[in-house]
Amino acid sequence: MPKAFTRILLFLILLFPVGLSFGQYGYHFGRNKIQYEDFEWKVMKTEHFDIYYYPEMLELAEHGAFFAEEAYSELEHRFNFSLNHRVPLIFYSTNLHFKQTNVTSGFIPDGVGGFFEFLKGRVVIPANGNLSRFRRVVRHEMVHVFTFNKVLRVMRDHRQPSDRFLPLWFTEGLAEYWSGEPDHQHEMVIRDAMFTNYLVPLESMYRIRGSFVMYKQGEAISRFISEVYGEERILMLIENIWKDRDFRVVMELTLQEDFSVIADRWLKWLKLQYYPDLAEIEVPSIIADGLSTEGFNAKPNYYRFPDGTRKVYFVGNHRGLSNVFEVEVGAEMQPLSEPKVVINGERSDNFESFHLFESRISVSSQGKLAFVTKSGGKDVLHIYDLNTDRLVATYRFDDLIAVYSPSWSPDEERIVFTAIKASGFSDLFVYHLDDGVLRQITADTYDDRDPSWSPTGDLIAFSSDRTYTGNEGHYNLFTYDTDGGHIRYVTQGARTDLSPTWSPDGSQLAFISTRRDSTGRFGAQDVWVTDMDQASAREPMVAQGSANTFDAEASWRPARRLTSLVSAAFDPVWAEDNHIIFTSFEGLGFSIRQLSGLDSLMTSPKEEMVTDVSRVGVSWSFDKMKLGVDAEPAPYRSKYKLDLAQGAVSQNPILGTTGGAMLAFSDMMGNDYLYLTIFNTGAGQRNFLKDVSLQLSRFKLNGRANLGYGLYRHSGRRYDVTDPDAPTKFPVFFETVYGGFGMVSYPLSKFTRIELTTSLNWSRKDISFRGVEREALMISNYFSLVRDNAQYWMNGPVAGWRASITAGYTSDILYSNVSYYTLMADVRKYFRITQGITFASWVMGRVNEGREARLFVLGGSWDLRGFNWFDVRGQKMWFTSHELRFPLINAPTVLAPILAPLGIASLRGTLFFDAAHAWNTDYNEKRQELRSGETVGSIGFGFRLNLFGAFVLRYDIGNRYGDGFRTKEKAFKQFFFGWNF
Amino acid sequence: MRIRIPHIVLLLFLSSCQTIQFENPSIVSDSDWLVDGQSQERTRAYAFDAALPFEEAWEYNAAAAFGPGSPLILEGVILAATRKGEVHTVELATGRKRGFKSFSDGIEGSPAIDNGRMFISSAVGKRTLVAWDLKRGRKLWRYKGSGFESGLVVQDNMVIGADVDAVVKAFDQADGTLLWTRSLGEMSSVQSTPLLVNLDRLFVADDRGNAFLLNVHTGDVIWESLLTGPVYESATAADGLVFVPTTRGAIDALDLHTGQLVWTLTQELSTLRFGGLATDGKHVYAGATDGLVRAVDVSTGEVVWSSSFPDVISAAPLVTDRHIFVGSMGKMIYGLNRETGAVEWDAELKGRVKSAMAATQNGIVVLSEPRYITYFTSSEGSDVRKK
Repeated sequence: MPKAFTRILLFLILLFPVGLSFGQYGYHFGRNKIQYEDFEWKVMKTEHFDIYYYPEMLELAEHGAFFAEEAYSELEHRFNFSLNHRVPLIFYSTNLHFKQTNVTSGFIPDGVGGFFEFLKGRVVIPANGNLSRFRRVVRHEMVHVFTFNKVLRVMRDHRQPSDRFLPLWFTEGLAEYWSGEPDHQHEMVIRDAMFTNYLVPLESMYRIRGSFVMYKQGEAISRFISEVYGEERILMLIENIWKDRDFRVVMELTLQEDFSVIADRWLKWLKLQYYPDLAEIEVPSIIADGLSTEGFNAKPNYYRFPDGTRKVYFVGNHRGLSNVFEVEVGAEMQPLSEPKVVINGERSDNFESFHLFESRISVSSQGKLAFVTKSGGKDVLHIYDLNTDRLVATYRFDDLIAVYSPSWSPDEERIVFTAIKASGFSDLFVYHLDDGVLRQITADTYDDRDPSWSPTGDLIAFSSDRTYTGNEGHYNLFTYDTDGGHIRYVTQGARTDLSPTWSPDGSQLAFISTRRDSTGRFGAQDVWVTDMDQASAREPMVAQGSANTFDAEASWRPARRLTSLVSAAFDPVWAEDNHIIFTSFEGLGFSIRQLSGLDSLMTSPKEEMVTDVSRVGVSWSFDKMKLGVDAEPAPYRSKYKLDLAQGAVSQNPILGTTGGAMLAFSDMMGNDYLYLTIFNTGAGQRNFLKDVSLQLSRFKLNGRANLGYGLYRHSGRRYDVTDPDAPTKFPVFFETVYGGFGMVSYPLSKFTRIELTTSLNWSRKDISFRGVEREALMISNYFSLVRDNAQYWMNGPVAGWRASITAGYTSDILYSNVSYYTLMADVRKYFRITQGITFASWVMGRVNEGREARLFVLGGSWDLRGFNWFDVRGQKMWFTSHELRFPLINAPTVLAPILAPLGIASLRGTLFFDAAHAWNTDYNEKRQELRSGETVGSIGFGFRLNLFGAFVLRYDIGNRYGDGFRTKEKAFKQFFFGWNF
Repeated sequence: MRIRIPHIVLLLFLSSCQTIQFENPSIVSDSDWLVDGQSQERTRAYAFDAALPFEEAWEYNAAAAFGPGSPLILEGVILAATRKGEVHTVELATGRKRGFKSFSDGIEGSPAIDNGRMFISSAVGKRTLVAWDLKRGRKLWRYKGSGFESGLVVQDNMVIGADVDAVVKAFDQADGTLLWTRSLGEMSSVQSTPLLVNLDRLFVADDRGNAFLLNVHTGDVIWESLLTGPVYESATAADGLVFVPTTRGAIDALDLHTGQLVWTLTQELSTLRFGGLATDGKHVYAGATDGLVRAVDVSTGEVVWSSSFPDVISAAPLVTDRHIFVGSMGKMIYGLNRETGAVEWDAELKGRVKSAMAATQNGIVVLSEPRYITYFTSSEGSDVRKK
């Protein structure tokens, strides 16, 4: 469960007029963001930055500090600006550590390279093995820091409110543009957009807000502005933001042309660059048969069963969750079946998530599938027997945080893979399955990836930025000699060569490659093949971690390009001798395809290239910013800083005027939160002190267990329909409560947690309408077990299930006025019938039994529809709801773009059935004012409209029923907002 | 509400503040700063010999930040235009507000004073150029057109500005009649305040890296020259040369008669931006985004000395008899030895310095973020009231 949600909920609980415990009303769902590691944070101070890191990643932090200062120095020129404050930079050595950060409350998906947070100006960046990439991300985020501060300054200079900012496509595009030359991913997306005709016009950039395409198109727009209007105009766009609220007007004022002219000019600029390539390109969907083309598919591998059955395995995401799929193919690799799920991902603790685009899978000659998933705080290696359809082993490695791309040795006794330790550098490891020994075969700062074990067993091919141009982001192929441990060049040059894979006879390597053309732009990522049949002794050797050594003699190696794709191929793998199966990127989709007729493609390749792999440059390394010989890094000390100060006044016809204020503080890491709330419901000056309520609470999130505790005083009039003492018709009374609470939430896994809450308070209740005065010293203890693996989409969950069981006891330990126990169970299951249609079922039961047991309530748009809030009350109840959820209009903004500015993101329909029964002592004892003792419910249909991808508007129409559905009471229409259950 | 005498007095007081008026604005002295940089060659050189260290005499809150131009001084009163579109007048001796007037949405270039009139340009809005009668405290005329990001030139009863569409416009000072216009090119803009040289030549450089010398009376182009980069900051002129800072790491020196490039000071880093320039006729002084202040020989383009600071310097320096004053984006003001570049004095401000300075016989006037005018005076012999 998101920790921020925990915090907010707990805070709301505190605000809830405290009579008794909050456990019975406070249960909630959501997955868990877990602090698996207890990071020992240190602080390194450079000229402009406070660098937060942990000791295991000191070397990486020193590189990061250098990159940050380097970026700062460069951006001072670009922005013509200096920052007047120190920037906090929080580094993580791997993505898996980064996912645990509390600086942001939400879950961080794969692919997020870092972020800049406005509240405290924090920059949070993971490294994940590639120093060039790390350097680029540091620059990217630093552009954000400068942009944010510059815009703030411009607005304040002109005394304008700081309520406007540059559009996201501009800021992200600029951050990409000013963080380095366009990389091959940029070209992949822009080429695809140009050639498959989905480039989003300048005037419609808001439609792709936040998408990967937005980043790359934004980058292209920045480059366009620089080349056509001048680099300085980019800064002018920022400096002119004060001139108009509409950024299109700002663009017109700055670029001195009508917006439509700018947009047209941009399109022509792109066409001029890319359309000359049209004559040569091949469209993957035309030249290569598709094996799986729905959703996202990647990392294929091939296996021929002993009975001759051929299957292709791959990782895919077809309906929002990643799985391992299989598709049966014929002798010509044509698909014989639809893709079928072999291993379900993202639903269980063992297969928490796949690295969909990062980690290859490997099938041994005996049908053992090796693959990696995240499980807990680390990646684990799984072995799955394809012949018996059984998971046979799961390996966890103490020192390895992230694991990628396993590859079997031909004898099936070893597996080589890439892994990242807490130091943050990516190296190759070999795991010996027979004796459980893990051996690290490379150990340096270079990014070694995509290992592939040769069929002869003596070589491991891999891709690495250890090449002499690796500091510019290039990768070449290398082999590791398993006998001597020597590393040798296979390819060389200013290229990006990735994903080597051996031919079945070991004579060739297929791989993916792209390189910059004469204009400096990367071309398409194509499938290449290089010969490997020359003796390895002739290859120039690379010393690990230091200067290269060469043979004096030239060593020529031929390579052939087999494709001329629109944009990109990934992860080639040989399927028998004459086929290569690969992932293609086309039309924003990733598909599994097969390339047949290799013989003829090799005979007549698109391009042949012969390189001398002995003629390479020297090794490189990035600079570091050292602390100094005697300097000691300062340990991190938690200091509170104000996050929020807010006041509020409300008017209520029952409770009168209420005024209050809230202060929220947190530390730099977001691990420690302090809340102070004070409010007053007094009707006059005389009651001011009597009616003051205040809470002080603290939540600590730095450990695996989340802790919360606090003290409170609540005093004032309350309107509480759940209070058994209060008058049923008008449940208002005066109550003063002094108390404290404590809570622990301990996640067992990403999906499951236990929660313990306790509270102790003294309460004095004055119910003047009934002449009742009651004092109590109550203690409440609750235990909950919560499970949630539901998958969300626009309007709420669409697949998976969630459940909660709670048990608790509340007792008045001084006066024995109150004594009851609570039991609750809540199960919600989501059956995804098709991609867009879900059937959702919800069953819930609640029991409060004992003296002064509180009433549960139902009614309203979120549970029992057709009834008003709190209409149905009882100390015991069951409730069930069933919904068929279906799309009405998918992507309405595409059909009617005029809706897009209104934020309309999704329109869906629902058919629903709700039923409930509440009672106190006798199941059938009817009390009309509580609607208890009878089964009530509703049947109807509704609409769900998602705005801006965040707000869901709900409108339900139906009939409500009473008396066990024998009586149709009335038709109703109900409008509200909120997610589906 | 009944109107009472105190209310009337308050209203009168407030209304009197909201104007700008001088007794004898036509009578000027050598100590007055009537245009950006005091002279229209924008030399930013001022002859005074006040001894360092300086002390803060007073600080004035102008409610908004300032453009890159310098404040003006008239009759012992400072006039500073803000990016909120106001001109504030502050008594030099006391730091007290004399008055203010709101003119537009944002004033980037310094106003210019001539013949008892003040001309105020603005970057956007309905009134991009306003003529103000300083004697009577009222508007004379206004011009509605493209905005001006730079300051103005006043000469021979004309006021001349170059707008964001790179069109140079000359107006009659008295009635705002447009006397001539000269378009400098498509898709270009003028960000740098034009210079008046030899009393009848107007030097303008645009943000596409083109430099022009125009006849100030007709607008005719005398010569046109291509610079080594776009120009966004203030140029300066001396001894038949014009010195132009670019945003591509260079200062160009052009022959004023021919437009030929005499020398270029080029830095390796092409993204380096030079700030506004100042000159004493012997050296050109420039800050830059690399935090260096350079003194460059006017005849050879050689760097005579340089002094390094930790933050960007974009504001034009101020040259006095013995010192160079520079403000930085690091909220600092520095006094350097004019011969060696050694720092002899510094002071911390409340915000970045992005504007040129003005000088009096006893001190300097500094404009800084977020909204302050600060007067620093020599601790020796000052006659102003210290804070």
